[in-house]
Parts: sequence; C-alpha cells; structure tokens
Amino acid sequence: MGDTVVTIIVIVLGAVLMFVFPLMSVADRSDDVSQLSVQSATTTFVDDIRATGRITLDNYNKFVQEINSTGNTYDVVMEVKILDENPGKKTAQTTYEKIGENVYYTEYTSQILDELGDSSNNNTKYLKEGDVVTVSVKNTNTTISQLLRNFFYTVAGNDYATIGASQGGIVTVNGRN
Amino acid sequence: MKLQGWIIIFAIIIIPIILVMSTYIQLQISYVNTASSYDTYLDNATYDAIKAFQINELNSNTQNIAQEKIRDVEASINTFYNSLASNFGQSGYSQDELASYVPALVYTLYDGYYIYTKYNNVVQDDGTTEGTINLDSTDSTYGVKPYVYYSARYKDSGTNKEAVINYTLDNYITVYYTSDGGNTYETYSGFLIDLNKANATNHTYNSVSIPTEGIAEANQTTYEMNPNNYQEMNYAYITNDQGRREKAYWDDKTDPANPRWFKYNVDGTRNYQDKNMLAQLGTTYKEDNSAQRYIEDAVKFTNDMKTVLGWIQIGEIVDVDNKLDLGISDTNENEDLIDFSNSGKMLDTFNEHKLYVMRNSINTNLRATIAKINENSNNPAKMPTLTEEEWTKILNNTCLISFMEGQIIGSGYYMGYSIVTNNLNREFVDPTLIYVLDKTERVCHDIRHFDGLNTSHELQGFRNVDFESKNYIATDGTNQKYYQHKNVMLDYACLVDSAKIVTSTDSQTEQNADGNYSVDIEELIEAKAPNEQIKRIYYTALFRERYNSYKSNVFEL
Repeated sequence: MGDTVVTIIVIVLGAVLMFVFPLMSVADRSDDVSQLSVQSATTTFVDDIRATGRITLDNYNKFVQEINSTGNTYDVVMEVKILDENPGKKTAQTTYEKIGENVYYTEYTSQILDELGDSSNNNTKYLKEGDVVTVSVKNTNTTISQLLRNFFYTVAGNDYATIGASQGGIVTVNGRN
Repeated sequence: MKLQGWIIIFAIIIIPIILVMSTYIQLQISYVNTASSYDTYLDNATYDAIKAFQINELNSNTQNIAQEKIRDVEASINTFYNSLASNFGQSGYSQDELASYVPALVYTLYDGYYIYTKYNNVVQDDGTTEGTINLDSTDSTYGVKPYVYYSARYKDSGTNKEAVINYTLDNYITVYYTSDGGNTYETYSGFLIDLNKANATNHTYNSVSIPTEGIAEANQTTYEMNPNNYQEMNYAYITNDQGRREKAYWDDKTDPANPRWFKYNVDGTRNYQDKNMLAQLGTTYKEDNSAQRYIEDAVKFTNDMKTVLGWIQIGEIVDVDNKLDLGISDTNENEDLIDFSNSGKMLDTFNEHKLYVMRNSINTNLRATIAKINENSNNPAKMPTLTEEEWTKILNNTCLISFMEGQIIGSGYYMGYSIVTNNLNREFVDPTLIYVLDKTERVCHDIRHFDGLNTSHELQGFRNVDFESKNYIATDGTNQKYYQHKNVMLDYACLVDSAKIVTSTDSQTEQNADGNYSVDIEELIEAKAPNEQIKRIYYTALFRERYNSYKSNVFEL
C-alpha cells in the first residue's frame, strides 16, 4: 500500500521534473524572444517617427503586423505630446519658440488612429520639431509561460503582462515640408 | 529505505534549493535588465536634451545675446526631463519625482560650464530686491548654479606677480594680471598663436598666405524674395558696440540699383544705418578679412603675453594661497606655461596643462555638488570615476554629462551617468569639423577627405553648423526653413561612410581607445594635405570662424 503511494508520488514528481519544468523553461525563453523582437520593433517604429516627423498608416500597420507575428496579441498605446504656445514668450528676441520652454498638449492612441484613418490627409499624422512621441506595447493574451506559472502560483495585480516595450523621444524634424 | 524513498528525500531537499537559487538568479537578471534599460533611457534623454539645445541654438540668429545661452541651457534641461519622463511613462514616474534622482546635469560650454543641481538657496526673499543672505539656510531648490569658468590662478613666489587665466576649449584665453600684489589689475583677452608659425605683416601661417575672401550665404531676406529658388548674398563680419562679431550683408538684391550693407536687428528686421557697420565697411562692397585679422590680433596678443605670462611655470598654480595639486609629476613643474623660445612647439605645454586645469575644475565642482546632494536628499548619489576616454570627449567639445542615481531596482541602487557630445554648436569651432564646400559641384566634404577635394573647382571652408537647416518665424506666424548654402549635398563617402577620411599621418600609428589615430588635426593637414590650396582653405575657414565665434569675455587689445 505504502509503496504504491510513494511510487505514484515519484511518478508525479518525475513527470513534473521531466516535462513541466522544461516546458516552463522553454515557454519562458519563447517569451524572452518575443520580448526582444517586440522591443526592437517598437524602437524601430519610434525612431522612424522621430527621424521623419510622420506617423503613417503604413508604418503603423507594419509595426502591428510585426509584433503580432510573435504569436501574441498586443495593446499598442501611442502618445504624442505636441509642442504648443510658449506662455512666457519673449518677443524681444527673434527666436521666441524654443524647445523646452513651451507647454505641451497630449493626443492619445484613439485620436492618432482617427487621423491615420483620414485618407484626405494622406493617412499621416504630421509632427514637428520638438514634439515628443511615446509608444508602449503590452501583451493582452495569456502566454503559455504565464499559464504554466499561474498553475503553480498566481501573480496578483492588474499589470500581469510579461511582454512589454516602451520607447519614446523627441521628434527632430518637421514632418510637413 | 527503498529507492523511491531516497528519490522523494532528494526531491524535497533539492527542489527548494533550486527554487531559491532560480529566484535569486532571476532577481539578478532583472537587476541587470532594469539597469540597462535605465541606461538607455538616460542616454536617450541626454541625447534629446543635446538635440534640443542644438536646434534652439542653431535657429537663433542673435549671436550676441549672453542671456540666450542660459535660456538655451534651461530649455534643454526641461527637454531632458520631458524625455526622461516620457521614457519612464510606463513605470509611472513623473517629472517631479525624477528630479530627485538626478543629482546633477553638467553643461560644458566653450569657456566653462553650468551645473544644474539641488543647492542651498542662501538668498531669502524678504520683499526687497536684494533679499537677505543666510548662509545657514537649509532651504534647497533645483536650479542652474552660476557659470564656472575654466580658470586657474598663478602666483610667483619671489615677486608680487599674480595672474588668473580663463581657459577655453581652443587657444583663446582671458587674463587678469597684477604685478604689484593686487593693487592694480590689467585684463587681456585673445588668441594665443605660435609665433614661429604666424606672420602678421604678410598674413601667413605655416608659410601659407591667408587671403581676404568673398563669402556668401542665403538669409531670411533672400529666402523671402523667392522661396523656391533663393539666392546667396555676400557678407562680411563687423565688430559691434560690445566688441562682439556680427554678420553684415551686402544687399544688392532688394534694390540692385542702390546696393548697400545691412545687418539684422534682434527682431529680424533689417538695419541699414548701424554706425559700427558703416564705419567699418563704408558704402562699397568689401571682402571679409576676419582670418587676416585673427592672425594680426593673435600675434599682437601673444607678444603682449611675453611679459604678462612669460614668468609662469606650471608648478606655480595655486588654489587660494596653497599650491594646487593637479597630479602633475615633479619633473615638469618647472616648465614654462608658454615656452616662447621653443620653435614650433610653443604651445605644447600650454595645451597639455590647460586640459589638466579644466579636468580638475570639473572634477572638484562635481564632487562638491554630489556631496551636497547627499546632504539634501534621501536618495544616495555617488561620483563615478570617469575613464580617460570620457575625459577626452568632455575636454574636446561642448557636451552634456547627466547623472541619474538612487532608484532602488532589484537588489541594489541604480547609479548611472551619460555623456553626449554636442558637435553642432555655434560657440566652439571644432578644428576637425570644418567642411569644404565645392561650389562647382554643390557638394560638401569633410576637410580630411583629401581624395574628394577637387582643386580645380571653386572650394571654400565653413563650419559644419552652416549646413544645417535654419528655421525662423515669418511675419505671418508660419515656421519657415531654408539652408544657408542652399542645395548642397553632403558627400556620402566622407560623411556617412567615413572610411575615406584620412586620420593618420603615416609616421604615427598609436591608436587611442576609440580606434582613431590620436593625431592633431593641424599635424595631419601639414603632413597629408595634397597642396597649399587645401591648407589655405582650411586655415582661412578655421581662423575666420574662430575670430567671429561668440566670446563671453572680450577685452581690448
């Protein structure tokens, strides 16, 4: 009787050690790979915006396609801080517009996507020198690694995404020539 | 016990160990990952701050307003925080929270540096314009501390001679000198030049004659006349009331029948009446003679310095009254700061010593700043030991050194810093960033791209910043953009690829850590420039731009 119980425990243990752990480890690595490619795609996307001063529908679609090709689904949050008037304008000097002195107003994903969908505007959002663009990406599905981990222990809290990337920076050229 | 029993005992012992180990390793991995992503954020923010500084500075055409420099620095600091905050957006940091993790931002400029930090505000507002000064104040605020010059004090032990020298990134110096122990002071400022190489009467340098030159560029006026095909306008430099150099344009475009000089007012309007301009240029067209005047002034200044600075040995540097230790070994303490008798190598000791002084100044002030931060803040900060390579970067161009320290990540504190060089700036003329404009082909080359320079074409040297786009705000409020040298392409082979740039004289093979040959640009030009014409173009451009760049201290010769 005792022997049978012990044997069963050993079999379970063996199964966990030989199958579940390697599986978890492989799943973790696959998340790492996804993380890496999402990070590099985000960086490329943002750097492209910063260097051209434009967010185009084409580029956005390409970016979404690229991150989705990792096999997960993602939530893409875009934020553009647009350089507005300088409240402390010094009109005695010719260059009263200086990057860093002005206030910003912010546009978020849905507003930006509206503009990208507007074909009368070339499906493009034009930015200017000094605007700040930030893109962050988080996975919305549960990856295999999360699934397995939740089997052993559950991570509490809302922020459960394991794959995430964020990139931002100042736009260095005027998009509209 | 049976085998199964041993297995279970083995598993019970080993599995917790493995779990603890893997958690620990995971923590270390996440520490390294977080630290490296913070590094990236800091690098990005520093880069953005420099980029904003460059754009602001390049688009301002008022070369003479000193206050604009501090405005640019403050705007750049805001940009730094904006960028850092937007990078940290995901982690939930706001700009105010970030400030407490930034112990210092150092803007090194042409003749000194600004430190932005949290400091004790000893001046208290009491309703009067002066305020009261309370040295024990514990009230601390964030802000830019007063400008620190790269200066050093020298005291002759035997006599009453004393001098304070303000150094700059190039050979321009300002001297405060007394020969009677401080009763009377004399002030001088100017460029030091090797007297064996320069000749003021026939304007030669290294036996290359320096000509006057006709220089032209597009400006706001010509752009507005015809935005689609704007023209260049000749210009020359004048000295204004404050002793600073400004551009005056020869206007033969708006009224061709009646050509005359004008300069821009600070608000962008044209001034045809400026008395300095009319006195110096008259009413006829003249070629610009800045490069020649550079040699004349520099030779005169250097000769003056024979008596004023001739007595200084580099061991005589003092800090208040005690000898200042710069870490210079005893063997060369008796070397003259400027060795007037050493043919062709007059400024070698000066150049080396200058770097020690600048480095010592930044180091001391930064250490003090960071020590003060530790008093005022809950987040620890440390002064990193900068590598030789980083010092080379700092001492050879204007740059921004940023620090971000004290965030708790994983098992320790984040301690990071970043150095970004600003190689597009108006105030310092980097001798390696002179571009040659080929007016026949409308292409520009790096001066060191000797293969690409076709001497049968019309060539002229300019600073790299002159090829950037210039923005201005038109009267109708729209933002307009033009290029000073119009439609010029940058040569791919030398500016993108950079493989064709000559960086070594064949005799010198010692490489520095970046893999570049540590050859002085002047040595390189002397050894490798294919002919006199290239040397002439280089020296003329370098001297012209140096002579006309902004100086905060200008004293009459």
